[in-house]
Amino acid sequence: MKKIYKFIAGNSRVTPPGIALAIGLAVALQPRLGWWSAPLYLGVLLLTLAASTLEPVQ
Amino acid sequence: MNGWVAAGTTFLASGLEFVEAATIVLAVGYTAGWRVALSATAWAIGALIVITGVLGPALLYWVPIDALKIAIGIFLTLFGYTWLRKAIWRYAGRKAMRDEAATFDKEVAEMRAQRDAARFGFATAFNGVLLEGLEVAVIVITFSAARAGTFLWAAGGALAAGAIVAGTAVLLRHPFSRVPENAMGFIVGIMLLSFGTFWSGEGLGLHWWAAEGTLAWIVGFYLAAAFVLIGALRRPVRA
Repeated sequence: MKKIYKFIAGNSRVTPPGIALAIGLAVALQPRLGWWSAPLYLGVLLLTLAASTLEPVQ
Repeated sequence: MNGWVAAGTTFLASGLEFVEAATIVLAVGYTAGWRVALSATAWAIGALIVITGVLGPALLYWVPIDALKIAIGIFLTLFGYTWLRKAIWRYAGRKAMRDEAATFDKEVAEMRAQRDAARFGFATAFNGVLLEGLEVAVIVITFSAARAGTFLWAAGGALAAGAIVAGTAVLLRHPFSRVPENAMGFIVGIMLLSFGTFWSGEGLGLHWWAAEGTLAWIVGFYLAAAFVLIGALRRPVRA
């Protein structure tokens, strides 16, 4: 299990929840998606990248 | 999507994975013998062909395209994060630059410490080629599944990288210490993350502001973020 997690997520504790948050927001806002939804989605993923670089170096 | 972009991305990603696999196979070849190293490599390549041949068509046939785009996007985004953050750490001086010569020496030392070098060598080379190749297989399958007509470009990029790395390994019989692995890892990270973001967003029904052209914008945003993060994480130089 650990090896599969390492293979898929590189042992990050931040990136899977970050992606889940971005997707969850897009799904929750589904009927009201507007011009701002794509930048919001990208913004969450960019913040996830920044947060993942603050994790302990592996 | 431009086929050349898909081919270029899979070429770079595969090249890096194959360089790492070649280092392991060379270490096994020098310590446990070339017969062991090459037979393990052949078995691993066979397993990869079966996995790709079964998984690719099954995905395309059974999974609806929007769900497939979301799943593909998640995989590519996760892979992209892993590649890019490692590259950011390396350029910021927080992680040692990858050194194939040092990896080769470490593998050789581990091999020499084993009693049953042939069995350990076979397992090491098989696992090495299978694991490094698996990521290539997933990337090629996902690129092919997300856009019709991309399979030949994506697979072509991976095969070209495999042929170049294998040919060079046979000629040199030495680890690839001059390949710019860190720069390649940075570019691959940006591309995987960008494609992953774009396709998962499409699958979720987001309206990208410049349609297909948004991909270039996303690449630009991730590039800018990566440079900012490298600058922010760089350790101050002591006088």
